[in-house]
Amino acid sequence: MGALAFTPWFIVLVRILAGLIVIYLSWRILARLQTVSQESKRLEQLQGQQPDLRQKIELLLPQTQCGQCGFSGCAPYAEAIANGDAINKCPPGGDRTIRHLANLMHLPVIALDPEHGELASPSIAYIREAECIGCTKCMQACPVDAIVGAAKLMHTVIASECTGCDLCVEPCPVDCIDMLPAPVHTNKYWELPHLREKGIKTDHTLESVLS
Amino acid sequence: MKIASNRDRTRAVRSSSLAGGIHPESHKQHSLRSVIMATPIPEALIVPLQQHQGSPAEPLVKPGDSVLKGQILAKAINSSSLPVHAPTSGKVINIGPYPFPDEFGSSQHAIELRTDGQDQWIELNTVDNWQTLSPEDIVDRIQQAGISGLGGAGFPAHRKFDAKKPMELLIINAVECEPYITADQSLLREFASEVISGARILQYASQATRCVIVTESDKKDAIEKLRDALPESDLELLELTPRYPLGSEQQLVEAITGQQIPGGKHPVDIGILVFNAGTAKAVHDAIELGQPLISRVTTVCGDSLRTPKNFQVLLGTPVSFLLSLCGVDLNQLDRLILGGSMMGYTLQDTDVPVIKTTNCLIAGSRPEFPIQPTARPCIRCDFCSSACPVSLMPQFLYQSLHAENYATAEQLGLPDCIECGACAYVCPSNIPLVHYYRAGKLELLLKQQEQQRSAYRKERYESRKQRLARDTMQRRGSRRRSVARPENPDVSDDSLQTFSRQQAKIEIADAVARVKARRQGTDRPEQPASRKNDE
Amino acid sequence: MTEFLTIMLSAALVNNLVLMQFLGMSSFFNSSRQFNTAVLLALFSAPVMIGTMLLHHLLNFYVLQPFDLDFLTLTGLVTIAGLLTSTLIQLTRWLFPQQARQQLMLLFMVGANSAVLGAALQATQRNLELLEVLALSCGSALGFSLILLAFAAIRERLALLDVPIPFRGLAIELISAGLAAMALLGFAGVV
Repeated sequence: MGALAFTPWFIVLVRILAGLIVIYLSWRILARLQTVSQESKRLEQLQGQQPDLRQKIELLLPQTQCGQCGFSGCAPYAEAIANGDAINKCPPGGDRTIRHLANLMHLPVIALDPEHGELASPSIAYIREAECIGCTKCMQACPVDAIVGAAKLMHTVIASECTGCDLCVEPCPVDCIDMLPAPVHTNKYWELPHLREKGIKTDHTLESVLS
Repeated sequence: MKIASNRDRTRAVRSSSLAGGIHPESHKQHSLRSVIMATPIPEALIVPLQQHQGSPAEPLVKPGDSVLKGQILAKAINSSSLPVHAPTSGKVINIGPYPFPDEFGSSQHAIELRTDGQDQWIELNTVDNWQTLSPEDIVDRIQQAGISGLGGAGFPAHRKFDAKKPMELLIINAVECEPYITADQSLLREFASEVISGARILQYASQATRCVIVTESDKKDAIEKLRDALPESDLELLELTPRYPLGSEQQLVEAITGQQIPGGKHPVDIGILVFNAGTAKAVHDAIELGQPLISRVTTVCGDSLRTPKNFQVLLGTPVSFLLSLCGVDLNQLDRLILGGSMMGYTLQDTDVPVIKTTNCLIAGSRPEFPIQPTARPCIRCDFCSSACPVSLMPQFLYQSLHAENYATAEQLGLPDCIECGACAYVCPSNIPLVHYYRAGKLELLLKQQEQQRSAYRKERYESRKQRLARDTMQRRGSRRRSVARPENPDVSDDSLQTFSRQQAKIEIADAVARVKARRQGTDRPEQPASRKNDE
Repeated sequence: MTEFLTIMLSAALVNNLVLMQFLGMSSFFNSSRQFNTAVLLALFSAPVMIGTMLLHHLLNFYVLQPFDLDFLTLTGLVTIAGLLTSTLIQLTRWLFPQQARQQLMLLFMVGANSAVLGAALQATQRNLELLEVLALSCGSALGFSLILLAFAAIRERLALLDVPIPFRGLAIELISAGLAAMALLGFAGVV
């Protein structure tokens, strides 16, 4: 190419060409970025973000299917957490569930969101059998089929299966269902020492999660 | 299976396979000054129904029954249960909750026996030559004698033979590394031949290829007696350099054979059986003499006692009785510890009985066990990691548990911790490390239980969803069928549905009115006295 | 050979990209809080760095300089980095379809990384040959990955510790980075 390569108009031409190539390439890159982000969103919705993680989260939730978190059950909430939703929406799980979820997702531990409910001790439903009219409304509401009975026959709650989700109390037309505190089944009690001693100063809030 | 040195009758093995460990002062000389003394019979004995790991025994006697020494009081209910025998003759007073020796001061069901002082034996079932019995028979007799591990863990002895695979090595553990405890050493001093006989019975029952008796090299008197009692046989005597958690079965197996037991598994899973020396003697008593397990050797020591010594204690003897036998000075008694000084726990109540796993009682004075200064912040010196026999990292475990991050603690190996206390012993900041690990392990256990419960509930929820879907499909299917046969409108599902829905509404309204009327008639009823929530 | 190793060592430790020259801090501080994700990030950014520097050197030497187009150095560099990053993202998405969201983050953190750009510009400024550029790129990638992994591990531990309230978050991380930089100062004068 010799002398031709360095004549002024050739240089200008090459420069314009280079500029056009750069512009075209940048446009292609931006378009590609857009499609990549759209595709990844669709991929997430389709197959669920990291099914392993979702299963682990689901097992950490108390599976009461009560709906206090705003989702229709524990599985949709687990899905939402895997996609980045807040972990403090589950009142039946309480502080312990929030802590285990925080450890799993590497997030900070936060207090229970008050607009999703209050912390309550684990409870079991109890039907006052004298008042039961046999309408089967509570049986239809129970998500784990813990209520036994039939139409026009007395209903009763199987205590070992009841999760304390509270869903049976509202549908009952005679309001004969009480939520009683569930018995605690362990005699072992070890507490982290810094939670009861004042020796080591800590900025962590001194709330015992071992209820 | 290679043992770390050649087959001489006695040899010393450097315990270089033990990473870490400590060598505290042993405090054993006081209780070794005298021989084992058999305790006199106390007035009352409290025999708990569960002195082992597994299911409790079921009582066969009722209050008012007279029992003889060695008579079975409660039978084993399944394969993980052990029977309980009367330690002396007397009368059953009561079966109910009594204080039980554990860290939490709990009470468990026990049989209270009022002794009559006669100490009359029941007729024993002995055999002339135990070698005529099959190994399964011997294991069965071991269970019927109520033998659990006397080293402190309380695992039912017969369950170690469950593996149904040939054992390569049988280890009789007389290491007794923990300070203050001299029960096994004094047992070996006086009953070496019985221990060896028990070892031979265990070897026969397990069909083990080799049998080794292990002890620490500074227990000179025990070693001498063992050497005298060991004829030229295939039993080998191993001496190990004293080091604190060497008596723990995982560490012992690793020191002798160099093999590590996988996490969560037991030595039987790699073909090694480990039994305590006291258990071996109990096996000898059960098979040769036909006597069930009704007494054990317990060390009673501590600065507040006038005469610390080892006792052959009847099971169920109250701790207060033992203390008075040793001349306890209650003014000096500051801390009563059940177990050794590293892994024992403080007793609040002196009415607890001695059970199968009680190997030591320390009646300590204030100068002997001073109040520990408050814990100070961790200075990252990492002495704890050097001391840990399981090669964990106590510093990082402590950090994650202090931040209450149980997932990280689990990843760092918290379930593998044997709670020996070596890390807390060396910590210059006096941090109560083992307390953190116990709390962390409990939290992990609760988390595991919660996860199992969640999985179960999820299963029920899913099956309910399937049932509802099935019902909807069936209803849809039958509705389609009824539409195809319009000539029978009364029987069709559609009309059935409307009929029941309207009728149900009427009936519900009636019932609600009935209940309201009843309620206004009487006051609103309280909760019934008995909760009958089961089906 | 010794010169190859010298350049590599100096780029990795003595003139570390992150802690000595303070390039690539954005990806450094926004990167993962977990060690496993940091490993993925390091594995991803190493070929990007090496590939970008080599391609940029080739582009510079054979296209831009003969035609007196030096002003297009930076643009060309960004273009190459972006193309390479998106190609690698497609590759990893094809190989590991489950981690879609993470890959998107990787694109922005690695593609638009000032460490990659800075190292490539240094190669240009020093007028190195191809083999020397290769050494420099390997060393830079190595040093960058090392500090990335070390810092992810430090952050995992910092999350467990009892940091005083005024220092929580970025403050303690900056302090840790400063201490690590002081440690690397020990290598000054080695090469």
